[in-house]
Amino acid sequence: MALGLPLRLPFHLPFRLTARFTVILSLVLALLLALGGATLAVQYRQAVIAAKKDELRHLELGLLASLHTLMNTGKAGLIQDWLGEVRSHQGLTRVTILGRDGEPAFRDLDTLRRVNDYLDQRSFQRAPRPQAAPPPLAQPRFRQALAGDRTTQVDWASDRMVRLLPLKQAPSCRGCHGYTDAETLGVLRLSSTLSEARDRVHGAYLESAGFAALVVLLTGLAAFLLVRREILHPLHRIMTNARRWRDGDLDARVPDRPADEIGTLGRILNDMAARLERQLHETRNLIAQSRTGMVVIDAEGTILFANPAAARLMNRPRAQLTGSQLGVPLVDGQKTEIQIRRGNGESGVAELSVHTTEWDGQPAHLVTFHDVTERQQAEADARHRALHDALTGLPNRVRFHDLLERAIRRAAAQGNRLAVLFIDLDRFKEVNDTLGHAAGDELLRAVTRRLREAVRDTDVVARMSGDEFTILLDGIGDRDKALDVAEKVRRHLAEPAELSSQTLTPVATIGVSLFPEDGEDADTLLMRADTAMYHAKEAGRNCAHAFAADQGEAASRRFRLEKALQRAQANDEFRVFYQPQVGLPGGERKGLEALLRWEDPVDGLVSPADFIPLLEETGMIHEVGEWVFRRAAADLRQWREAGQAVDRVWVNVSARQLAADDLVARLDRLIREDDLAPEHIGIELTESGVAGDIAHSVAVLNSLRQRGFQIAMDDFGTGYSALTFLRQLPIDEVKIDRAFVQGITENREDRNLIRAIIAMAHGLGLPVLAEGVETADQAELLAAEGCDAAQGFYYARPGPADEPARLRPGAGPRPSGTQQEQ
Amino acid sequence: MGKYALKLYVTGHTPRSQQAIDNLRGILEAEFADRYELEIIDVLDKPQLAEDEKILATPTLIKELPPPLRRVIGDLSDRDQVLLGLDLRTVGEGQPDTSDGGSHHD
Repeated sequence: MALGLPLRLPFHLPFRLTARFTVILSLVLALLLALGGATLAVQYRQAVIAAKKDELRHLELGLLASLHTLMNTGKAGLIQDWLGEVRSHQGLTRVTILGRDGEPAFRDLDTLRRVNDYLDQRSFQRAPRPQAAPPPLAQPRFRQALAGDRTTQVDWASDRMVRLLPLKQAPSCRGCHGYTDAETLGVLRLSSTLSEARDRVHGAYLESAGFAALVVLLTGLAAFLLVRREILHPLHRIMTNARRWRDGDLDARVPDRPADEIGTLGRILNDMAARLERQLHETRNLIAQSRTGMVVIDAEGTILFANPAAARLMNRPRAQLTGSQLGVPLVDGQKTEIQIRRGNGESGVAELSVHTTEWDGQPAHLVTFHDVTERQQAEADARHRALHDALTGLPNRVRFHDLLERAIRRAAAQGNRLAVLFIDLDRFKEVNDTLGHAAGDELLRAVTRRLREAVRDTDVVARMSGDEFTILLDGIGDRDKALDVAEKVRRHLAEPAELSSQTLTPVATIGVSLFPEDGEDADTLLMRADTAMYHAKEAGRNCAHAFAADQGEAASRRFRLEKALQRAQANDEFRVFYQPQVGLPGGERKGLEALLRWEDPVDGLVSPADFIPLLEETGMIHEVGEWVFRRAAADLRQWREAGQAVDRVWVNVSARQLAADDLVARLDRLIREDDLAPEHIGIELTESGVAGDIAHSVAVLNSLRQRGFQIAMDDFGTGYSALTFLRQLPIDEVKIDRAFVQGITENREDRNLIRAIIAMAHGLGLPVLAEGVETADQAELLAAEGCDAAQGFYYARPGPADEPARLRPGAGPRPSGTQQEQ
Repeated sequence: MGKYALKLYVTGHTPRSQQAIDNLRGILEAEFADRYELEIIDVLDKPQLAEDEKILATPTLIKELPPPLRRVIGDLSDRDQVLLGLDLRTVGEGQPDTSDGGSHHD
């Protein structure tokens, strides 16, 4: 029934409840009235009968008395009175006297009149006494009545009431009928109508029943109005509000009411609506303010909803989006990317994901997307930065390596050759040092331009590090062609370049290697081009050299060793050992020389002579050398914390390190970041290391001394050893090479040489330290010659930093074993 | 015999656009050989066309024939998804045959 009626019919629901309530109330009232009526009807009937009975009782007493008198006296005249009395009772319809046999003796008033006539003629007293026994009584009811139990029969339907009264022999007439006193002579039957008794009672009852009905109806009405006011109306108000909530108006509120159940219900619903409104508001805000575009589409790809971000991302008004076709998103896995037209009209990239959902009860897709244009751009930039040099924009070492490997694979597949050019700018460091980094950068950019100009567009030009460039020549004919290109590049570079402040002529040395002749992988080709470049440098700068076969053997061995060294560096296999230096002749500890060792996990300690030159050649010396400094600084700190005063730690710096542009910068960084204390650090340099570029060396050494480092000339006597050279250099100490020390006890010339060196150094104000002292005799002799300090197995072998005995201050000279090598 | 008429909207000559075009051509060649017509529209070149079609994002692929009209977006990398999305269900049938085209003819 509820389904059949449209819900939008106003007042439908309240009427239904009211109607139901009315019906129920009416039914209850009707039932009450019916019950009352029924009760009343029964009582009414009883009352009518009782009234009639009362009336008849009064009548019958008189009747009986007069009839008895009549019968017993036989006075016929009295019957007139009796009849008159009977007639005055209009309610009596019939008066019958029945004999013992049940047959009417006197049927009605007429008959009675005849009885009277009869009695007039013949007195009862004269009536013959019957001889035989009286006949038996007839009907049971009759018998009952005659037995003295007066009964009343009420026939409601025919509106009749009948009473039976026994007629007995009066004492005065004893014996005149032949009956005993107790025996009944006959029965008087009185038939009476109930109508006038009914009329009488009816009036009274009608009055009280009407009153009762009125009371019941008024009570029902009052109950109805009360329910309507207290329940139905408040419910209706709640319902009206609920309907507004349903239709989206969450502002609607149920009017306040006392805190009864309905009032509480209203308040709960109000709270609920307020909460819903808040949540809806928040959710709407989230969706509206979200930077993520949200679009709901149906199964055909039509947009059902779009948030402001979606409109912004797709550069269209929201209203226009709704209803238009987005298309069904084909999402591979979780996400996909699409191109969008962004707010500024430019094309952008959005990352899109799709979730199955429902909209208005229909299956739909929620498509969320956000703009990843900037992020992708940033990622692309980062990728580019990672693979390119920031200054020149050229591919960097990593990128070049990658490109070279690809080119090698291609060339191998096609049977082509390719060449790698390794280009090193000569004296670039001087530009940086004298003209400043800005000029250096400018020069590098100019070089970059020229390198690009000198080769084909398809050739790759890359910057490996500071002043090192590489070029990949794909599909080059042979070694001569490659050298031609190298020469062309060199010449093209060597034109004067107009920089903003200066005109400079970049000069380069170039090494060339060829695939497949010189190597079949990128590392080998690069290394061999580098080797060729190095040889070209040694042969005199500003030239191009191809890798030569005789360099190849060594290169291949070196290559393996180099790999091993890289592994050693990565696996932390390098160690720093310390060897004390003592003063002569007293033997007090003066300082420690830090010595680099390589502890190969398989071969054990590797001779420094075997790997240090290669560290220099490969350039790894820069990083490893820096690591030695850092280690020394850390050990120094530790010793000091342990209370051991160590005057100075001497660290070896190689020719390559010295020649690099960044030695001072590296040390400055160590001073800054690793608490390297220059006043406790000495730097040992070899003659050959310093000799390469005297002007540069002097500049660097001066910078180092300014920072507080002491400088020692290591292996003195093995290299150039020119006096003027020694004078030019800003150094603090001279270390005599072990070769001179070994022979002094046997060889007179050596002793003379040592004496001369010491004298010369002292003449320049420089103290002298002798290396490789192995015996007491040597120590004694050196002291005698005025040597200031010594170092060697005689005093102590080099050992790890954590052997405290070796480092104990004042650990004097002690005999050592017979080991002849260090 | 049913013809397949498709329009692909892309933005510019980017690798992403090219990828979508390649993906789609691959699918169409494999499934419908020479029974399709593909029009590629660069929304940067022909903004009015894109506007008329109300292209909101690219790549958008519209199948005009056979009916019903279908529109999908994405990089078109998943063959099954593309065919399903375009309501061209030859998936799993081994080879598309002419009766398939004919069934779309009405």
